[in-house]
This record gives sequence, C-alpha cells and structure tokens, in this order.
Amino acid sequence: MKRYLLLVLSALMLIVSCQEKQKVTTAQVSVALTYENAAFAVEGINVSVKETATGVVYDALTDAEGVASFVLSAGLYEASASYKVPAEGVQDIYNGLNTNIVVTAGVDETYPLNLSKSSASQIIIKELYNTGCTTAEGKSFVNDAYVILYNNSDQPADASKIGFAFATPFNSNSSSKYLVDGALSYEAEGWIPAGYSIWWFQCPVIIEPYSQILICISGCTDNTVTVPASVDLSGADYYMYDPECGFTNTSKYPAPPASMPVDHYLQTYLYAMGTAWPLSNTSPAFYIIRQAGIEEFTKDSNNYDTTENVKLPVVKVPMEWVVDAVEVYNQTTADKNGKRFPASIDAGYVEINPKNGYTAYRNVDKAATEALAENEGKLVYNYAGGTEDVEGTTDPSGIDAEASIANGAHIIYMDSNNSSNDFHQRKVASIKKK
Amino acid sequence: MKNAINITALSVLLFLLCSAASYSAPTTNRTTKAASASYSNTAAKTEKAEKADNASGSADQSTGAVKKGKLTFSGKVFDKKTFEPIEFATIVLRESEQWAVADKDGRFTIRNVPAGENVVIVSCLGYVTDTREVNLSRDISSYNISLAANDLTLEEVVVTAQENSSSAATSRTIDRTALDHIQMVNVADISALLPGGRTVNPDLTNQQVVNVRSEGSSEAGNSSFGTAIEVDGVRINNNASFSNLATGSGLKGITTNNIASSNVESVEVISGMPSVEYGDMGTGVVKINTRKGVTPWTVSMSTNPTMKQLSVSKGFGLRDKSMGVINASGELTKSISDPRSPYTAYTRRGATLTYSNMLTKGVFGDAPLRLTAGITGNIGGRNSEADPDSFKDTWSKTRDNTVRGNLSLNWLLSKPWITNVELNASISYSDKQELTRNFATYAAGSVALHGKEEGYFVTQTWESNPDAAITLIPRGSYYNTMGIDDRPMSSKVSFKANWARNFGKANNKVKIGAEWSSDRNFGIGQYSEDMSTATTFRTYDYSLVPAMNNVAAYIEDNIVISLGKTRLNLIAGLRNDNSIIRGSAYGVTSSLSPRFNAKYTILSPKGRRQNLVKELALRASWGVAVKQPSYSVLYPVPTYRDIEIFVPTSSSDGSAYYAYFIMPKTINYNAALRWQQNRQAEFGLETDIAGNRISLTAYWNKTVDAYRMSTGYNPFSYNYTSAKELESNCKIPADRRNFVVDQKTGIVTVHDKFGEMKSETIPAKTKTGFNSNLYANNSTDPVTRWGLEWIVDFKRIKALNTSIRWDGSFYSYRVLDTQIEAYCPFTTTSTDGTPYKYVGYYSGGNKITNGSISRNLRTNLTINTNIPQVRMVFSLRLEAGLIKYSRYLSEGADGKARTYVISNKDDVLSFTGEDIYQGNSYTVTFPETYSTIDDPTTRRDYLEDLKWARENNRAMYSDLQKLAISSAYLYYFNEDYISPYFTANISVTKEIGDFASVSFYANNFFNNLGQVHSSKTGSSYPIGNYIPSFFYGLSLRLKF
Repeated sequence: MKRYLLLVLSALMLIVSCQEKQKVTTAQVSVALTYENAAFAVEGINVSVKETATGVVYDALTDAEGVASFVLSAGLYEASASYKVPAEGVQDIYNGLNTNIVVTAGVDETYPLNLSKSSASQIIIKELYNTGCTTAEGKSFVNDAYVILYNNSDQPADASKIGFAFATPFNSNSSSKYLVDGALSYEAEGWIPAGYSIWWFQCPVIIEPYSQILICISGCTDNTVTVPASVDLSGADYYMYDPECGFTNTSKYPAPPASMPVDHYLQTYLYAMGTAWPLSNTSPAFYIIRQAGIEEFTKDSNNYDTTENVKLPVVKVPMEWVVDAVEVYNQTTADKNGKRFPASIDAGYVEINPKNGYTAYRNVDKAATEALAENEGKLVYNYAGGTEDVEGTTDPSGIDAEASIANGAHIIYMDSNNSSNDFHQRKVASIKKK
Repeated sequence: MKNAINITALSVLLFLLCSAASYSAPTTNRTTKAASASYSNTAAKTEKAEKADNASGSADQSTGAVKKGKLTFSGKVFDKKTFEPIEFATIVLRESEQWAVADKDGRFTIRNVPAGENVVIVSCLGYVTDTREVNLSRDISSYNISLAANDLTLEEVVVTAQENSSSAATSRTIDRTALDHIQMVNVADISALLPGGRTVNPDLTNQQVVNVRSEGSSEAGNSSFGTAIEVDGVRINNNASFSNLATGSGLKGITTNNIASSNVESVEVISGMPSVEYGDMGTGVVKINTRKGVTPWTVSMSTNPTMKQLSVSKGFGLRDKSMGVINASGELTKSISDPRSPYTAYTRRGATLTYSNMLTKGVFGDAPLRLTAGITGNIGGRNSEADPDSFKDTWSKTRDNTVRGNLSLNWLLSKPWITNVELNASISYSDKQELTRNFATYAAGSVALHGKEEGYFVTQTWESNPDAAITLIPRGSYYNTMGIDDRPMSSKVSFKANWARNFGKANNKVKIGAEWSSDRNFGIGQYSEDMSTATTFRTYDYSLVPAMNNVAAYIEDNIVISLGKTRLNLIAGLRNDNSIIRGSAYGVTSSLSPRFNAKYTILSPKGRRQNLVKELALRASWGVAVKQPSYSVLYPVPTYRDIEIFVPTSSSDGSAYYAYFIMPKTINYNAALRWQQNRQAEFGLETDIAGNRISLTAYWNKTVDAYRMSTGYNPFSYNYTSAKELESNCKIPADRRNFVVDQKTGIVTVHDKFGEMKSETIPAKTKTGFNSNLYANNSTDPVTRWGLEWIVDFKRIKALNTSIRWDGSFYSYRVLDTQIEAYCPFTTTSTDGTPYKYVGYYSGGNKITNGSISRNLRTNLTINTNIPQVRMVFSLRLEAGLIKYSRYLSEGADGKARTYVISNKDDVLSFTGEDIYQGNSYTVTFPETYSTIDDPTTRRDYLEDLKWARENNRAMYSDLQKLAISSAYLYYFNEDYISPYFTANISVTKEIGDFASVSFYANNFFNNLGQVHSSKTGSSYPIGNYIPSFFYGLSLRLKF
C-alpha cells in the first residue's frame, strides 16, 4: 500500500512539475545574407536587428556562410547590414534591409537579407536640415532648410553637374502608389522619381578636399533675427535658389542679400505645379545626382511618370545618376513610415523628430578619420551633439566632427549608402553657433 | 420653341378665363342640389343636446330654406374630448377660398358663400386638422366641428410625411408630431422622411442645404441653389451672396442651420411643379411654418452626443384674446462636430415673436381682415476661439446672425368680382461675417499686394504710403485678423387677389398677383483689422454693388369640373419675372414661366367604403421655373494676376522692395447670359386598394442654362528686370538703393537714398504670356434627372395598433458637358523658359471626364406602432440602398472622341483604339483644338499637331503635352456598382399625461460597421460613407 501511495505521489509530483514548465518566450533567428539570389558568404559582416516597437538594436557577425544568428523575443524586427569592400578608388558597397521579420516565440527561423550593390562617392550629403524649428511664440517655422555637400576625399571635387531632387511621396508616412506587392515598382525599371523639379548649378562649383558648400533650400536670409532658434542663411558664400526660377512664394524664397553673387543661384525647371519646391519639412527622401544636361532631361516629357498624380508628373531619374541620398523618416509616425529609396540607393533611414531644430547629420568614419596622419592630435572626442537623450540617435564614433574641423582636422564621414549607419539626428544645426 | 410654349400657355390660360367669364354672366348662382338629408334645424337644441350630437360624430347642422345666391356658413369649433370651444381655430372653405377664425366661444361665420360643393378645412395649433366635404344649398347656422387633440391618445398617430391629397403637384407635409419623433435639429433633416430618404445624423457645424430630387452638390446644375425655402412666407435665399460660383464648386443654396427647429410647426415640401406664385426657384419649395396660436408654456430639452438644445415657447392671448395672439419662443442650441474636441462649436440662439389677429368689427364686419406679423431672429455661428488645439490666440469665427420680419394681411371681401386679397411683405437680413485670426512669421521682409489698378508698382513701406498698391511687411512675427463682411438682405412685397366662383358643376378659381423683391448686400467684403501687416488681398465693397430687383406678375386659373362621378382639376398659370439691375449692363432681363397641372379623380373615396378600389386619381404636370442669378454670377469677386517683374536684393534689415505688374482679371459682362431654368414634368397616381394607400410619382427634370463660370485667355506683354541686370548695372550699395518703377512701362530706376550717387536705370526684357479672364456663363448642355417615387401605406393592423409604410425612390442623373472651355496653365513656363504659350479648347473643360451618369434605388420600410392606452409611439425604420451606380463619361459634341485608351500611361499617343468604357485601361484626354500666343484667334487641330511635334519638334511636343490629361487609374471609366447597404433606426415617443413627452432615437442601432464593395475599383470601403454611424438622441418636452 505504501508503495502504491509513493507511486501516486511521485506521479502527482511529475504532473505538477510538468505544469510548471517554463514558457518559451524567445526564438533562434538567423539572418542569411544574399546577393542576386545567391548566398553572400562573407564572414565577419555586422548584421543589426532592431526591434520595431522598442528601437532596441542587436548586433551579430556573420559566419563563413554569411549567416548571423540571434536569440530574440517574440515581436516585429527589421534587419540591416552594410558591407564595404576594401579597395582602391571607388568602393563597392553592399547594403540590405528587411523590415518584415516576425519572430514567434519558440519558432526558429531563417530570414533572408538581400543586399544591393552601390558605390561610395567623393561628394556626399553631410547634413540636411529641413524640418524647421519653433518660434518664440511656439509656432513651427520651416522656411530655413539647407543642405551641406561635403568633399569626403583628399582630392578637389567638381560639383558643377550636381543636381538636387527628392523622391515621392513627399512624406515617409504617406502611402506610395509605387509600392506594389511590397516592392517599389521603379526599382526594377532602374529609375527613381524626382518630384516637382530638380535644381542645378549655373556656374562651375569646385569643393576642396574635406571642405563643404551650403545650399539654401529656402529662406536665404538671417532667420535668427526673427526666429532665434533658426539659422543664419545669409552667408555670402552660400548657394541658393534663383529668385527668377519661377517659384513665386516670397516667404519661401525671399529676395537674396546683395552680398550673394548671382552666379551662386541655382536654376530649376518646374514640370509640375506650385509656387515653391515642396521638399518635405518632416521626412524627405532627398538625393543628389551628377549628370550633364539635367535641364534638357527635365524638360523632355518622355521622361515623366504620372503614376502618383496625373497633374503632378515626376521625372524618372536613372538610378546610376544618384551620387548620394538620405532617406528621412518622421519619428512621430514610426509605424507608418515607408521606404522610397531602394537599398542600392539608401538601404536605411534616419529618423528625425520634426520642428525641433534637429538635423540629419553624417556620422564620422572613425577608423578612416583616425587613420589620416594629419589628424594627429586634432580630433575632438566625447561628441555630445546627438539626441540619444531624447530617444534620438547619436554618432557612434564619438568624434565631434565640427569641433575637430574647427581644430584643423580632416573628417572622413561614413558612406555605406545606408542612412541607418551613416546619419544620426543632431540636436542643433552645425552652422548654428551658440 | 420657347415662344411657342409661351403662346400655348397663354392660349390655354385665356381659354380657361373666357370659359370662366362665360359662366359668370348671371348675377345669381344656380341652386345646387337639395341640402344633405343630414342637415336639421338645431335652433331649439340645447347645449347639452348639441354636445351629444357632436360626440357622436354628427357635425353638419343647418338652418333655413333652400336659397339662391350667397349663403352664410357659421358654426362652432370645439375640443372633441372636453367640448371646450377652440378659439383661433381657422376654418377654410377651400373651393370658394373663404375663411374665418373662431372666436372665444369657438364660433365662426363666413358670409357670401356661394352655393355648391365645398371643402371645409378646420385647423388649430395642437389639434388634428379636420377636412370634410360639404354641399351648401342654404344658410348653415351651426356647423359644429370637433377637433381631436394632436397627441398620442389618437388611434392613429402620424409620424411620417403625408401626401397633400388635394394638391395636383407632388407635395408632402411633415407635422410637429413627426418632427418631434425624429428630433429635428436642422430643417434639412426632414429629407429623411421623403420617399427613399436617407437618415443623416444631425450636425450643425456643417452648412446644411436642402436638395429636392437631387443627390447634392456633387452634381451639376446648382440644385440646392434652386430650392426655394420660405419661413412663414419669408423667402430666404443666397441671391445676395458673393461666394460659391467663382470657386468652381457650383452655387449652393441657403443654409438652414440658423432656423430654430423647436418652433417649427410643420414643413411642407413641394417636389412637383408648384403654383406660379412661387418664382425664383429651380426644383422644390420648402415651406416652414412656425407655431401660431394659443399654447401652454412649452419647454423642450434635447441632447445627443454632439448637441444640446433648450427651448421655451408660449402662445399668449392679448386682453382675453380679443386683441389677438402673440407667439413667443426662444431656443438655445449648441452643436459640436467631434465630442472628443468639444471646443469648435456652432451656437444657435433663436427667437421668434409672432402676432396674429382677425379684425371683424366696423368696416371689417362683413369683410374680415386677418393680420399676421412676425419677427424671427438668430444670433450665433461657429467659433473656434476656445479650441486649445489651435495655435495660441488664433481662431476662426463665422457669424450666422439673421433677422426676418414678415407682415401678412388677408382681406376676405367675398364680393362677386373678388373673393379675397392678400398683401405680404417680408424682409430678411443676415450677418455672415467671417473672422480669422492668424499668426505669421516673416524671417525676411514680405510683400502684400492690395492694389487694384493695372500697372507696374514697387513695394513701399506702410508708414510711407498706407494706400500703396504693394506694402512691405517688415521682418518679424505678427497676429492679424482678417474678415469677410457679408451682410445680405432680401425684401419682398407681394399682392395677390383671388376670385372663386362656381359655375354649374365647375368650380373656378383665378389668382392674380404681382410682387416686387430686392436683393442686395450691405457688407464691405474682405478686410483686415491691421492693414500694415495684412497679407495679399483686395477690397471689394459688396455694398457698392447695385441691388437686384425683381418685378413679377402672374395669373393662374384653377378649375375643377365634375364629370359624372369623376372630377377633373386643371390648373394653368403663367408667371413673368423681370430682373432689374440699375446701373448694370444686365439692365432688365425678362423671363416667362408657364406651368400646368392636371388631376383627374376617377374614383372618390366618398361612398366607396365597401369597394376594393376605394380611390383612384391621376395627375400630371409640366412647367418651367426660372432661377435668378446670385451676385456671385453677376458680380463675382474680382481676382488679380500679380506678376513679379523685379526681384531686388534684400537690404541688411531683410527688406526687399519687389515690383509687380498687377493685372485685374476683368470680369467681362456677358450679354448672352440667360437665367437658369428648370423644366419639369411629372405623372402621379394615387389609389386606395382595400385600405392600402399607394402613391406613385414619375418625374422628369431638365436643368438648362445652369450658371457657371468660364475662363477666357488673352495674350499680353510686360517688362521684366532681372537680378542679374541689377547686379551688372547698379553700383549703388544695397542699403542705399531706392527703387522706382514706372507705372506704365515697368522700367526700374535705382536712386541713391542720400542723393550722392547718380541714378541708374536697369535694362528690362519684354515677356509675353497669357492672362485669364473670368466671366459668368451658362451651360449649353442640360442636366437631366428622372425618377420614380412611391409610398405605400398598408392598411393599418388594428389588432397590433401598427401601420407599415414602404417608400422608395429610383433616381437617375445624367450630364454631358460638351461646351468648349479654354484652359491654359499660364503660370508655368515653356521649355524655352518663356511663359506658357498655348491655350487648349476642351469639350467640357480641362478634365478627364466631362460628364457622368448615376442611378440610385433606395427604399425604406417604416413600422409605426402606437398604443393610445399608454400614449406611446414606436417606430422601426429599415433603410436600404439597393442600387448605387455611377460612371464617368467623356464624349465630345456629336459623339466626337475626346478621351482615348492608351497602352502606356506615360505615352499620350500610344492609342490602342479600344473603347474607354470597356474599362480597366489608362486613358488620355485632349483638347479639340488649341491656339498659340502668336496667333490667338486661329484654332489648330491639337492631335494632328501633337503627332507632328513628336516627330519634328520635341520642345513643342513637351509643351503641347501639358494640355493632355492622363488618367492615373485603370478603373477611371469603369462602371461603379456599390453593393447594397442597410441600416436600421428606431424612434420612441412617450407621453406622460398631458404634461410631458419623451422621445428617443437611435440611428444605425445595430451599429453596422461593415463594408461595401465597389465594382469600379474592386475594393471595399467603410459603410459609414453611406449610412449614418451609430448615434442616439433624447428629448424631453414639458407643457404647463
């Protein structure tokens, strides 16, 4: 009897212990790099997986098969990777982004991460300030956008044939009519849209090594007089819109200061309609191209596409013309943002919280910059200009680029064609001197 | 053709009048048939006996012998339940157009009544109207009529729209019981009670208009603008409005938001062709009648998730009622659009004061005079000032203040040559001022253009010249309040004489009238409270626009002929309107509106209680209604073309003195402008089969010459001075420059502020482009609507105290606009950098589509159960949209193609030759012809030249292609069938004694959140676009 009783107790204990088995809350997730439908078997590439809901990022290196492994909690993730092939001259860059990783607890799965190939450029977008700031009265002010182009090399760069454009839809949180079955339809056709018009220089423009030029997108005046939080865009060496370009919005395009030479004016041709170039003041997909004959190209209606709006055609810009691009996401609409650039143009994005005076600022390529002998003792560290303290991002290199430049250093910025790696949200515009 | 119609109309009218005159020769009437056997001498009856008779329902009593000539008809009106006399009850003899008002004892007398058949209509506020036929052959001294109180103790309570059976045109009335039951907030809400009507949740924050036999503002033809709305005879309209048409949205009718709903006693909607009394209209007359008569204090309180309402009303008798009655009411309603942000609100503070009396003494002894005078007002509007979501200290307010006054004198002469005369005068004045307070920051100096004169002007500071055409707004941040002062006023005086006589078996009524009406606006238009920081706008003083007067005369003959047991009613009328605009090129515009109605009653209900078909009547009508234009048609607010002709450099303080060429877009007087017309015909059938009443109406409605705005383009040249020329030719430092622009040539001269340096003239270049002119116009293509309406009131199920109504409507709409309209994207530049130089001429304008067709089939089933014992009525209403079909059209005149199917949406010449209506294809629409800036009068074949340019001139091809319009969607011309949708509403009203009543409703109480499928796109859409969202409301009415 005692034996039976013990057996029953043992059985009960077994049942109880089974009932209290730990719930599985994680899964083994593998991210396999691919390129042109084949495995990209390169070891040591850093793959980042970001949890969409929390923004927490996990990193892992690929193995010899090009596969990175993670243990992740259930949730929605996006994976990205960027790989620059060490080479002389023009560098090949591989980028990839998979925004559709759904991890189910206890279900181990491998997700592909398709890479696209592109090239690094001599001229890069160093900073894009487009989301405006707030007036002393508390109202947003957005007529002060600018972009800084930077020569990221030790050779003079000819920017004369550079043009400025943005892809549509204007805002990252707008639905795109080009998005068909999860893919951007124009990617397969080898072009990207340019909304409204493309700006181009009217004079030869040379950017010296490790130097920059500033192009006023609007408000080429000292905005700080009226809006202290804004920026002074009245610099005589700045470039700006041609006041006779056809855009008539004088708030957006006030008369330039007399000090600014007329050959610093940018010209454009409006193939859509409007009184101003409507670069998004929250989340543009901004890019620069290099091509002779931009004017003729934009005037030829054979190059137009009207998928999005019959009365607002976009120009179909060949993807190989693109020199650099930055995809800006609106941080306040995180769950609705969508890509407008294919991975070969920009595999990532930088999130900006609009109307706070924040800018999309380039991260420093720490290794390359530190490798320059002339930078010995000139680099300033402990960068504090990022916005990580307000749920934003910062430059992981830790180098304070502007302070280092002021100190005589030459900065080489990140150029992986992946804005997630290359840009961070900077708290104050770089030209704003406190 | 129009003249032929007018001549025909006049001929018929003259024939009818001559017929009538031939009957009127004898001085005495032929005696009608012997008095009804039910008549008896009641002189000796006691009051008690009289009550007993009435209680049993025997109301007709007479005295005297059979008489020739005129008779006296008198009697008493009293409460059916309490036997108390009903003072101020109105007694109308319909056929002889005579009337009386009961005195304090309920007694009335109508003298000089012609012998013969007549219809007595007795009504009083708070009672059910009594209508009965009477055959008069002798004096009647005590025709006693008992009226039942209009409450829920009735065996049959009416909470639906009721057909006006006596009308030859489609007309329906909704009385207070029904209005309380649906808890009307806006008069526009009553549309739900019309056949096939769709319930819409109440909302005062949107401007609501009434559309009769139309689906609303998305359709062409300005339908709501043509809906005539009258409040106690005061016409309210949008004639003096300057908004709407110039913006391209079509003309809208007057909004009904400011009409206090709680004091409305009844609403009559005449959908068919109304009497010629009603002019200045298109389709539909909505007559709103407020309460008149002695009433107890009535307090009502209503609430729903977005609205709160409180109203008080009372009908007072003056000096024991002998001096007349005053009705006073007040209402406070506050409505919000979104309960989650209850700050932007529409407030209505309505008040009504009405005086009515009948003078029967002295000279009015034999010819009583009825006097009604009223004043109605509202103070309210929309205000967002309290909204914390708005930027600090910015807001918008729109006033909706109005005051309406009316005076009506109705003198019953009862002479052989005239029956009665009526004089009406009314005035309506509104204040619709819009105020918007904005905040703006100018990082650099900005400019504001206020000049209206054509020429070149340079920016000046406000301080130096407050009247400058262009003023500088200095760098800084400013608040500015902009307003639009809009104060329309309409007034009207009308005179009408009626003459009714019997001629044997015919009853003939002639109506002759004349009226004068005037519309004008006392507003000053747009203004700013601080011109020094006001943004670009131009003043346009509405009050300087001359008044639009209209003088009208009309004549109408209404004859009822008994043909055996049948009866034929013919009405013919002719109206002549003359719009007089002094000081205007439009001068005097005359129009004629002939109208005919006929009703043939084959079977009358009298004596057919046992028959299967108890009643059968057919009716038909045809007529023309003319709608006067609004000021937005005759005097649209001018617009201006401002061309920047010189951009200077800015000085150190951010100021820049731009120069502009200002060019008014002159509104051309259109000598060919015609007044919009509606031609309408309908055929109706009313029958009663075994107690089931059926009403069926088919109508056809054609709107011709609909008002619209058209655009013309003219080439012009101007001088332009570039910044590069300034930099090259001006040595004066930026801060010392003083720019002067020649007003006529545009040549810029720079002077040194200090006079030390020599003035410099900057070379200019001449540019040539197009400018546009807006002008009022008519649509040459008609808007055609036709449809069917039906109401079936099934025989009441007495055992369940339930009545069932099945109503519905089929509606068809078609418009194809083939009018050639010009379009030029003149603000764009050509590929060579010059202003755009082509004008396209499109059939129906620069749009992919130039027409559409739609068809709707909607039906409603209403089940009303009233339980008199507990004084409650319950309604369940099921609404169904069974067919909702639409399709865009694109066709040129005579079927000429204007839109083509293309294989590549970005290649406008990749024609496939397929039919656009096959659907699922990309299309391109072209202008038929185009002209160039070098030869603006020659129309060239667009398509031919486009094909040539593609092969031979790429720049021209790119430029010309801007006139082509591609469709972005494959489904643009697909047929669109929306899948059927359904909803259910309930309403309950419960009376608590005579003291209180409570009503509750719930729209879409099943909370249907489904989707409908569109065959056009293949997608599904929220059903909320077609049915009301779940919504509920409660109201409480107290009487004491």
